[in-house]
Amino acid sequence: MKRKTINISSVKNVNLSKGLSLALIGGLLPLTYSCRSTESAEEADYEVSETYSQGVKTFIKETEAGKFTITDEIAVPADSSMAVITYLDGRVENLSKEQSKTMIDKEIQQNPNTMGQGFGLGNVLLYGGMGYLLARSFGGGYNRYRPEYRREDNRSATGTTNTGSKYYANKETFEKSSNVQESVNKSRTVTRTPVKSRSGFFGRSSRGGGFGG
Amino acid sequence: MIQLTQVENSPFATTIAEGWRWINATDTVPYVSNELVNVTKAEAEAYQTAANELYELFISAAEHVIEKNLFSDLSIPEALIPLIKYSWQHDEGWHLYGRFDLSGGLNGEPIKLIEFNADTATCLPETTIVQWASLRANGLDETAQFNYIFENLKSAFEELKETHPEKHPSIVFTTLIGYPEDESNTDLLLQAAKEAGFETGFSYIENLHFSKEEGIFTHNKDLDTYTQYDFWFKLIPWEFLAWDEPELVELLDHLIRFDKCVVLNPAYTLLFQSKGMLKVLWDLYPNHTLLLRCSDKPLNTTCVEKVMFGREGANVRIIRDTGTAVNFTSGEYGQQKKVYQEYTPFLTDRAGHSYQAGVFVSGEACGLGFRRGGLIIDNKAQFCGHIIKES
Repeated sequence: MKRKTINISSVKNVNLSKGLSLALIGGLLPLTYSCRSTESAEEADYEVSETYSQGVKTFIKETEAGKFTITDEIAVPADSSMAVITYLDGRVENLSKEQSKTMIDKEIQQNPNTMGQGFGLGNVLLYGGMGYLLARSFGGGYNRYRPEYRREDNRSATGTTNTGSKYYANKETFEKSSNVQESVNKSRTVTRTPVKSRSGFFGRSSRGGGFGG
Repeated sequence: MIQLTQVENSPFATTIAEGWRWINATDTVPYVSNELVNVTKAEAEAYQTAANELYELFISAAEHVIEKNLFSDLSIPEALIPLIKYSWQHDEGWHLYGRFDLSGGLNGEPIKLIEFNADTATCLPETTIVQWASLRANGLDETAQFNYIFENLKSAFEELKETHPEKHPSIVFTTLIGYPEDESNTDLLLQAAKEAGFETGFSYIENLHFSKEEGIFTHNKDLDTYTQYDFWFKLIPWEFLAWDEPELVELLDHLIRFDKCVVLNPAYTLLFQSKGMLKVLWDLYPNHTLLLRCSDKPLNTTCVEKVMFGREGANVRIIRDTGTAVNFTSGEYGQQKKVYQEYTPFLTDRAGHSYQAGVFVSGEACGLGFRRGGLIIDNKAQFCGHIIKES
């Protein structure tokens, strides 16, 4: 909020959004306060969640020496994620997510200011499904490069810019990949323990009184 | 002397407020007063302008603290300083909301800042829903209230989502086990987030899994599955994290820096929260009309001693100019460093109760409520709604 310009308008004669009123009247708000404290912690948790877990398999083809394009992307189980590269000489190489990461990292290190411009393998990996997975699971620098790209392409779909989905062979492939990425996005639920995770913080807390102010 | 409007019907008689009857884990009816404070439109606007202006002052003061490295004057735990600086520089986790506690504001009494609950402010359901329901339950004009907190919270969540297009719009709300009042506050926030298009969840902090490499997960023990959330709101103060769970602070520092999750409210709100900020503000803006004199030593006039991170009026002492304490509250924060703020009387009613205004900010000042109690407004104070009336 701190960067926002504060609008000093006169007091609005508004109370609550219609949305809330409806939610309240419809009884959608949880009536949990009276009972939650008597339940055990885990029983009292509630959440919206999905129950599948997906990754991406991305097919990349070398079109001329050192230039690549994405020809297809499909959803696969998370642990089968990979990039399949077909080189000009017909050689096929499978890159795991980790190997793709190494290539992307190298590209970012060598050409930090021209990412998203060339068509080298590092760029194509970053702006395709592999980069998407990395941005999702590693965050950091990856999603600083990617959102602009997605937004630009969304705009191009409405005709305001013409940058196009340049890393994909054609518009259909790009659109298909968007759907695949969306389904990955939704697969937030996993059956394995998160890597080296810690829990139980404040488990023996003996503080008195609420923490609110 | 402030004027009150007596209302007959309890707000909890309405469907709207029914679900909030248990805000404090017990039947809240006695906690919510059946009297509304009369506020003119001009007075409501003055509260709004004051809170907006105070927010700007806090921003400048925080910038000053960071620039001059005054963290120890504010008793900021060492471990949090890098994260505070980082969150200030990369303001990606917007400050969702906070609440200014103010004296004055009615009948020509000047508005003065008492403190800013910036990190983990409560009283959200009372101010947002219950006082509105009071108008409704009594057939009063439902628009006669300075109260659009819910709308602003919703906008704040919408903006949060737009600022992070690469993140999954999923947010988990967290309190400690056994603080139902805090839960009722996160429930209100959860509803606003849901309406803004977030997938929402709730988990006690004990059950959350923090993975340095992957992010923040809830654990469903029945299915033995873990669900990742890209946004986390904790109604647990930053300083308690630093004091009690240094390992968690270390983890969060990593997760935030590597952009694996957005943590709300951002760490820099701890600067706003520290009572040391009251002195910094006075040093920067001496005699500002909204501020009370404040020092790290007792003043030569009646003053109020406050600990750096006291909450809900705990460990507050009123000291007369003769040096004797006349009123004080006990609490768990007594060992902390203190500041001394000039005493200002609260608004009072015919019965002699004291009133403190709470003005919420979310993007801008957006709602008003009152707490009513004795000389020191603490966690036993009643909640009092308001009605805009030209008297």
